[in-house]
Amino acid sequence: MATVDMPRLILLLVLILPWLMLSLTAVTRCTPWLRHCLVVAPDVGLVLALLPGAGQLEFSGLLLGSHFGVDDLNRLFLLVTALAWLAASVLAASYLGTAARPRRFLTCFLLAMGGNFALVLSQDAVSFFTGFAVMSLAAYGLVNDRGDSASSYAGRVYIVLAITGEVLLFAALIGLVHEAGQIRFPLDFDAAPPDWAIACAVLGFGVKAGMLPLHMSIPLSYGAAPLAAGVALAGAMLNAGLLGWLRWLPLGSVEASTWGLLFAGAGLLGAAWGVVQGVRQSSPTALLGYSSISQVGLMMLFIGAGFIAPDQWSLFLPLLGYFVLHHACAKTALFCASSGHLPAVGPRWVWWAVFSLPGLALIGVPLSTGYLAKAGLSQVVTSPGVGLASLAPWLMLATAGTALLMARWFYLVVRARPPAAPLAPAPWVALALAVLVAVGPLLATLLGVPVPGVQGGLSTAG
Amino acid sequence: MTWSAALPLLILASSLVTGLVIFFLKEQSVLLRTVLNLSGAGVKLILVGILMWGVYQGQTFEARLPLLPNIELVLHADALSLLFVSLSTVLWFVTTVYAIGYLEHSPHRSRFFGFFSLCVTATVGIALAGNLITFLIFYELLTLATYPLLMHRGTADSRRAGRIYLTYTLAGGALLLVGVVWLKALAGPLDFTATGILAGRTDLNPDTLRWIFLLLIAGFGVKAALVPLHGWLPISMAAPAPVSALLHAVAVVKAGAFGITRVVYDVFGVEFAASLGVLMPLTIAASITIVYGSVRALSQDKLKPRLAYSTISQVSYIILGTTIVGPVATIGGIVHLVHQGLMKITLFFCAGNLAETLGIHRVSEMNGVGRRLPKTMAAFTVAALGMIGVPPVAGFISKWYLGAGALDANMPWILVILAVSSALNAAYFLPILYRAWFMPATGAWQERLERGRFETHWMLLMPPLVTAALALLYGLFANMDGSPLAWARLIAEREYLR
Repeated sequence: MATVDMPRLILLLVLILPWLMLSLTAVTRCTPWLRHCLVVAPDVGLVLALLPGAGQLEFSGLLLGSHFGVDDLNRLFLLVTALAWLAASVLAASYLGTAARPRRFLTCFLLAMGGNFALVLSQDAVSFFTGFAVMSLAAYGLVNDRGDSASSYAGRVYIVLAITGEVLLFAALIGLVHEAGQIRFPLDFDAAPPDWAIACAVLGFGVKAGMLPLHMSIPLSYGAAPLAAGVALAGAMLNAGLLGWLRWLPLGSVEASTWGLLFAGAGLLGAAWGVVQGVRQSSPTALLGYSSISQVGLMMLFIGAGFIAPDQWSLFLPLLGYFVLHHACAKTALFCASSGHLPAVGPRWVWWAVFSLPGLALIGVPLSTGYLAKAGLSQVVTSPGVGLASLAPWLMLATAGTALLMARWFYLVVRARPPAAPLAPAPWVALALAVLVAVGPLLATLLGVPVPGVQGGLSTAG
Repeated sequence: MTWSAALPLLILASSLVTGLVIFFLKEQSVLLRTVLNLSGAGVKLILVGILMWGVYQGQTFEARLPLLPNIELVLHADALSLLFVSLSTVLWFVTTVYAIGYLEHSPHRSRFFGFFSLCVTATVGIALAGNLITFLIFYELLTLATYPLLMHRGTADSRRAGRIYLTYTLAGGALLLVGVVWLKALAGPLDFTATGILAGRTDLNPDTLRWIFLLLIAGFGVKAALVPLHGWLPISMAAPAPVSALLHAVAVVKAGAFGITRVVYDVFGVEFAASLGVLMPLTIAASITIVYGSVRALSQDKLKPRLAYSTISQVSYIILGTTIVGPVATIGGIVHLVHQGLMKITLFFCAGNLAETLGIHRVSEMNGVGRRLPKTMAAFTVAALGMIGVPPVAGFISKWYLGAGALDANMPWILVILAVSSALNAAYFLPILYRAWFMPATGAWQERLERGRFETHWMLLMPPLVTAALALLYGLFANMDGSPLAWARLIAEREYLR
């Protein structure tokens, strides 16, 4: 750190704020003041994501030599991560007032947040793995916060899968770095890394991203975790798995059709399975878990295509980025709306109409972000050289499936009719996010304002 | 006598003299004993600091005392011995504080602290030993000094533990003696040499050397608890907590592992040993020990035996790193010497706190204990996660180098061993954390200490907090100058790659 300029200072703040808060938690009581400070770190994260250009930070003594910074790939992940943690922090500040073990929840929450920001901003594989491990393990405390039999079961499934994932990722890390000869991103592979290392990375991150058949913990933990934690799990931590795939796998450098087809196959299977299982759920948040599995299945098609046609990867990546942004915003909004609470002003139907917006976006109705995201997806699968054009009809089916899921979600939430909670922040967060999803990115694109990291992709998609 | 010869002797004397004086103190002279203990440990800490500084500057420190015709007692400070000396000195200091708090109201404290100091003298002697004979002498002294510590409580259990310990270690010592004498007769002086005394000796019969290797490894393998020579370790859990802590972290098991490191690197030379074909069997034995220890740990409900089986498993990481040819794995093995010490001593301190504060001895009694002893359990959590290999705790750094070294040596199957071991470590440590932090308190704990300002006696609380913090910092800032990793790299560079 020779000179401290603004972007680097902000970068540093995003990295250390959660840990500063954590040390405060260790020495003070969980006061309302501390609770309301939770939103600061995600706020700074948002600023960093929207700030043009950003410095890099190098800590040569940290771990095995750590690098952090914002680049084209993680800018967008930073944006969705910060948005989701912001929503989660607002909800957490309110939840902590009533939680049975507030200090434990707060500790796990901050550890997961700190790990999540560190992994998103990391520019080397060891820091990424470290952030990922801290986040994954700390999230156990969020999943099993209530401690009833359902959450402890969800927690058990979660931790078994998380540890399995960590162990696989450790092996993948060693194998991939050995082949690349460096820990710095991007991992440059001259030759294809060994298949066992790729397999370990695919499965290890698959646990977090909800890839079939390692998806079991997703709906369970979404259903069991308090709303504040669920928002972070669904909107932020799930994407860490995706980012892991993008950072670690030899995409765009090595052609591996077998891995491409496997990815695409597992993706399609997940897309279908998420719908089939999702409509049978009676908890709206568990349903959203299956919806995530289904949507991640669609996102895996991008990666599959990238394995098959590495020369076109630079074209696919921004389109995938847009899909991630769209999905994370919509999912975070849906999660917040899942409490079923409505703002205590105005006619109810207006609110329900607003809250249905993210669902409609997820289905991909025209003029929504989902429409553009899915247009990008069909462009990828039908692009020459990928050879997945036969999948196009299945994508239509997936859209129909998503519609079914969202209808079911809407029914469950409306039917729940929870007791009025006039000060609950959830509906307001949901409202803000719903509006953002509905108009934000789309409006930005229509007005020609560059959406961080996706402008290249959108011009091709639109 | 020059300063460079005096310093190693002074370092030995700082604990030896303390120990001998303490034997003659009256049981009631608590203050004098405490002052002696702490000042002995403090003086040693300072002397070792000076020694490190000197070696870092490129000075050599060596003391040679004639012992028998043709046989010298050699104390020599190289980078590897420094790592072990500083580890034992720092942990001795911390453990002394802990032991003073732990034994506050128990009998025979002069006897205890006397042998405790002798035990440290022997460990430091092992670390500084410059030839195999010196190593052997201190190694046997260690056996004798730890025996009374194991039996300190004088119960039937602890007497049995002492008996079994003595049987195992004396048998191991005998094998070692035969090996050393045989080698001495064949090869002449046995001063440790960076690339191995025997490397390049074409005049010696390879089969004879293989037998000698087997004898030496079997001798050291007893203390290093290499399966099937590990039987004494779980039984020795009858010892008081500070003894277990020191036994598992620096003194006994580490002396065994350190001995194996010396034999492979400085007596045979790693490449020569590989060419004899003796390393692969040792790699396999270490791998079996790693998995076996973890599997046995799973089924232990008593906390200390669970930790003991964990030690069996973790110490073999050091042996594993030693036997894989290549600098990266060497770094992994050597750095684990320090990392395992810090993490394991933390776990034993915490186990002692649970027993002393609340009378908890079993995992099944730990439900909800995180609320009663949050700081103790936080330290325990950090150390346990480190054992599993979760970054950024130090254990991850060891595993990283072991794994990368295994790939360098084209032995990818080692990764499977590491992965299985991590998973098993998680399987026996995470349920403990779950009980402590996520289950409601159910047990009827006996509050054994008066509640003061802290959750337990401050002398019991501070040591695990310090060692846990070190385990965390040494992982988090592994790449920093002066970290154990930096030392391990220096050792690999200076000692083995010339």
